[in-house]
Amino acid sequence: MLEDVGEVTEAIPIPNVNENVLKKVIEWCEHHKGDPPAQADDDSDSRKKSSDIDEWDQKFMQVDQEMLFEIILAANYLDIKPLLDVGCKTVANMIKGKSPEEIRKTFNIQNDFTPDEEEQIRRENEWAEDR
Amino acid sequence: MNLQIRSKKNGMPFDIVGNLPEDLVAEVLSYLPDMSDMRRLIHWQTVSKTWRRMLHSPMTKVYHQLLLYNVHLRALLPPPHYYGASHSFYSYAVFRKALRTDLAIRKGNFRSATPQMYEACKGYAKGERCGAVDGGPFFSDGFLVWLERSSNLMTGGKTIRVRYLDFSNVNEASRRQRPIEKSISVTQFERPGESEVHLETVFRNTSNHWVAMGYGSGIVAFWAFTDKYITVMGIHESNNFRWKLPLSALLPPPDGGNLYIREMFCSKDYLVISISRSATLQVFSMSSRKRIHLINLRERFHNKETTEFYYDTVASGNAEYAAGIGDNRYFMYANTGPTASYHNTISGYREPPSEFCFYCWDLKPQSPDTESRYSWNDQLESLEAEELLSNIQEPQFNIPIDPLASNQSILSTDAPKPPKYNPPLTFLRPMSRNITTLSWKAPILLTSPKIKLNTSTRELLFYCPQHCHPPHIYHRFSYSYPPEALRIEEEPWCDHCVRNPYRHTARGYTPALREDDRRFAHLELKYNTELIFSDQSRRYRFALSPISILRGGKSLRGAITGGKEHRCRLQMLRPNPPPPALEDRRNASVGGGIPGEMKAHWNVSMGKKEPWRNAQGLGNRIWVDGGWEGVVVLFNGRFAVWRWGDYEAEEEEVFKEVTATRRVLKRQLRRQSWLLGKT
Repeated sequence: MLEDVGEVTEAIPIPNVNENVLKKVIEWCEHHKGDPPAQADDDSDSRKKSSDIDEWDQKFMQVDQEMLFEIILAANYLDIKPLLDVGCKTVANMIKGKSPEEIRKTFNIQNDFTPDEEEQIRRENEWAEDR
Repeated sequence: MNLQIRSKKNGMPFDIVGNLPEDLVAEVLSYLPDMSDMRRLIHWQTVSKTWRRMLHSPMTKVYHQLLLYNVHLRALLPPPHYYGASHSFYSYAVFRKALRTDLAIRKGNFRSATPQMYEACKGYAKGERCGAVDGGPFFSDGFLVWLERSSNLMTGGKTIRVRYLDFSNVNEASRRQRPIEKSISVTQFERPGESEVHLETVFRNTSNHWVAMGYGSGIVAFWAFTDKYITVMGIHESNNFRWKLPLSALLPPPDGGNLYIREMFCSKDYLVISISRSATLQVFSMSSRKRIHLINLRERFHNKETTEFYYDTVASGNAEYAAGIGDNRYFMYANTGPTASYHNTISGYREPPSEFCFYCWDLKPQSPDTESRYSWNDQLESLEAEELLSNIQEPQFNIPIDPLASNQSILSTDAPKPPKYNPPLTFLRPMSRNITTLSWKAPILLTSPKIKLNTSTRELLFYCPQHCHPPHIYHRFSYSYPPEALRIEEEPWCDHCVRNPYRHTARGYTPALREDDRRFAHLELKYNTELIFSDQSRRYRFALSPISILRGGKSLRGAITGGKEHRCRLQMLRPNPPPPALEDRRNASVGGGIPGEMKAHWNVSMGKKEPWRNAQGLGNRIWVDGGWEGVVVLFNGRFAVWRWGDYEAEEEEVFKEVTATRRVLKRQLRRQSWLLGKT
């Protein structure tokens, strides 16, 4: 983003991030300012473990779902990759191992499928059943 | 949008995932790579319509190697065979097992750049060019993709890949008597789920073809059954590349017989074609468009008096080739000619002079009076002539070998011109042409390479001749460059297979069968509805009797409409001699093949007016394949597998909805019923 606006001395407006969220982001950045820079992105499996969240981050992410959503969007907008990773991992942990019904309860999602549509999808997914 | 969500949900839980942008959803889901999570992920389509749409997004599918299969997601297949490509039908049969076993196999294959294959997209985009690799709005019928050197499909690197699209709708084409169309295209994937088609061509009026894939550079060579050219296309040095190599440039057999293209291989600049009957290995340079090597195995390495001479397979790499000959000799080549050789690689194993292969191209002008050089009767005799194998003289074997390469320009006017091409083409094993009216001209396709050359690691791999399941490496050779000698680095991996022949089969082969294992040495289609094959000591006949379509009548004219039972009879023509070592009669019987009759319930619909014609039509629409696992019959759009040694039969609806009913005859039940009948 800074590259986009170039060298400026004035304040940079961040219209997509509100105050509360920005405070949380800054709090996270303050805590992690001494962290070593992230390694180059790779596709190894080690990078893709949702359980790999340190304790402070776990507590940091214990916010309501609205705030968590905003933090993820803000991290993406501000291009803070480690924070985005932590946010995505937290969401992944929230849905991991849950059935569709449990997910609906967790996120207060309304099932907008008709019974016929649901049955149709279930039939399509039979191949993935545990046998 | 955020404000709206916040105002609506204010403090309440709300759908985080459903409201995230597509790329962030893919990021979230990327933290769920386990197989159990993968299943969950598939089931999460039922959470809501938003989630379903989200899981069908290209980025999610590409990351998780999911495919759009008709309208639902399906995970990517591991290679069903060790060389990565196989029939889609076969892979379909092992598909569920693969899903249950290990997702890591697939990921490992991607990381190690092992060629993969998957199939998807059963929709039909008539007249439309196919869309993205994941399906997209336009997808073809029978989308079949091989990925060569696909080191990273998930993130979609800037890698050129070769895409082979199969437009054929066999039922539809057969019913309407329309030509089957196939398309091959070379695509480049810039972004996940998107592809750019660089080159594309369509086969028409054929179902037979031979495709060789390139590595990395997107070179693909293919030859259609009715073409006079081998078409090579791809992207060469950042330019689209298309070259038509006329078949007349290939050296025909010296005796003027049929020209059999055994295998083709592409590398960055080389096209390697092995011609079976002429026993030549011909190497063409794509940049100079000339033949640079001509390796004639017949002249130097074999007894000229022996006409039955085939070499098994050939692998190619960066100007390095390996060839195996039917009498168990293997050769290495580098640039100008053979530089190393090896004999009796697998002790005690002798490859029969097989003809498991493709299609022949009769270069001789044919007339109805001209008798084929390889008549059917001759082939039958050869089937029974077991001594043929033992009569092959042990050839002298000397190394080093003089180079045999010769540089000839295929474009020169002096190149030998074949006689006039005169279709129709014939099969490798000619059949009576009065009877043969197969609508599919490829009823038999039976081969698998036993050697594989890996030029990056300088390894020559020999796969176990026991045809174990799964296939595994028997010998691993390493070689220097240029290859001067082959050196065994490891002991045979399947020594225990030799001691205990059926340990790795999991198919219940009897020792009697496995000790002299050759699977079946011959597989041939005698008539439209009859298949004869044999292993070393037995011959089988697989007959599809149109009479049995009847219900309640003595002639076909009494046939009536409705669902009928088409009985497939598998007979043992020459019984297996009783194995003295066996104490268990049950095992002996299993090894003797499937006794009696296997019933396959084809749901055929007979016309009222002309049932005879319908029966003939049905009989013509049979597709038979065989391999080291069993025989596959595709008939009227349905699919059945008979595996050797057990009674398992499986029907699959391959060209219709996946949700079609599937019937599996359990092995134990059939054994018990057979035993009851026996006692």
